[in-house]
Amino acid sequence: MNPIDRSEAAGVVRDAIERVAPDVDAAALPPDADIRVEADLDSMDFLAVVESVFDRTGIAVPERDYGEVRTIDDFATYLVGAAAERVAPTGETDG
Amino acid sequence: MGTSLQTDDLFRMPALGADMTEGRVLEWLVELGEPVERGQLVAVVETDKSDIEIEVFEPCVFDEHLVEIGELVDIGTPIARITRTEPAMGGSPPATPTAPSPSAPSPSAASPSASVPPTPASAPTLPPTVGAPPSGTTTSAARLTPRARRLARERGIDPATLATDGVVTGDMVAAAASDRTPESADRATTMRRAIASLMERSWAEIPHYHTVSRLDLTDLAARLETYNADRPVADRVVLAAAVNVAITQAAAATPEMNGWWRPDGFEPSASVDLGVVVSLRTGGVVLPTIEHADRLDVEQMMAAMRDVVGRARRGRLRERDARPASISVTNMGDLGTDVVLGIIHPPQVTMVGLGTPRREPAVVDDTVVPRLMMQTSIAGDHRAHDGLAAARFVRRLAQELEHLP
Repeated sequence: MNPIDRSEAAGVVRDAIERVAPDVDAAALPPDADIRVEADLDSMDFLAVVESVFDRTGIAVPERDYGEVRTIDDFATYLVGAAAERVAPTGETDG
Repeated sequence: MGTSLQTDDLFRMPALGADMTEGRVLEWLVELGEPVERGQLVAVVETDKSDIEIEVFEPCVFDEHLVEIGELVDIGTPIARITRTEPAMGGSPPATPTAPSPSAPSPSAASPSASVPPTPASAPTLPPTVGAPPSGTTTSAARLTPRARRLARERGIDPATLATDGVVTGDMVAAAASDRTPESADRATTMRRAIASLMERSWAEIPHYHTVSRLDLTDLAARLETYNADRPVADRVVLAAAVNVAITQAAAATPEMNGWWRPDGFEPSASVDLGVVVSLRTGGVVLPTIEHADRLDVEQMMAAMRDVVGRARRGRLRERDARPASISVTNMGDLGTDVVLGIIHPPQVTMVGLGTPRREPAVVDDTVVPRLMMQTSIAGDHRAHDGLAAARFVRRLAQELEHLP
């Protein structure tokens, strides 16, 4: 897993949203707005977004962390942090 | 059936849902003269609400098309001449689904499709749904419908990039070539009309009663989070799937609410076939059926839901999605309203309405504590049952939730 920068991470999130909700112009979504509200995603849709992000980054956001990935900004921050942890694991490693 | 080859069978326009009276063939998915397996998807039929892929119930060969592409015909109208290629097992069920025929063997929704090489990991991870187990013949490359082949040639699309479940259709090629949004406005109008006429009929004919109860989902949500924590993302289960399992179990335990109102009275259903209201992002709703939902555990329910929701959203249902449901559920999801009072889909007699779960003050052991509460409504046909049945149903639903996932 390579580190990713914030804009790359935000791009991954926007791509994921567009894949799940093709009618949404993800590029136009405010970075600090609640993704689920703005893109009108139900729980299955949001899971699909998380899945799509996982496919691209290998980072699986657990449900208990859903509160930290509400907006595109927050999601990007989360992914940057998770990717960095994998590169230089603090404490136990995951292989 | 003594012969191994029976000629001159007619394949008829199937009835896809209680409110369908006519339909048109949009596309043939098999070539004339090509062997067709049981369960194979053979055509796309347009109805007011959705395009539906229809299948055959016996191996056969299509000899001749009897309708033009796009020609509007009544249900039951012969649309193709076919030759059955194998005798029916034990008796002679009709080769052609002229009406929803419960006796016709339907391929398991869970049967894997192994006829194409796996798609790249970036493909949507819907579970495999193709009903045709490849018997004997194996295809190494995706098959193209005649229209798909033409479009691929015209628009310079490589069909190999499109194969998802064995057959590349014209629409898949067209979608790859360009976004096919022009159609959608028209579709929205016809869908609105179809919803209008069905709801009008329901409201005029069915004496509805409604009840509302608060269900505590706090513990279920906590158990699900633990359950999902150990699982790959693709295998996670959402709350709605668990609730749907509980609903089907409650329906099985309350037979007077699970079935259909007929001119001569109530007809209970032997199985629980769950209609699921799916909102489309472009507006409107469709109500695909999850057959034998009472046999599904939470994981299977989740897979079935992903499946039908995905197909409904793509505007392309399967024939089995259009079979009659025995009870339905409408779910407001995470962003909806506190309460939804449903309108029954005739001839069913019950619509369960799930409001958006919210953390609310609730009284537990004489103390007010925050709990995740979901307001659950029952819309009942008062001709078939009454509020006492609804109360029993919801009590059972609450009990079932305690055992899930």
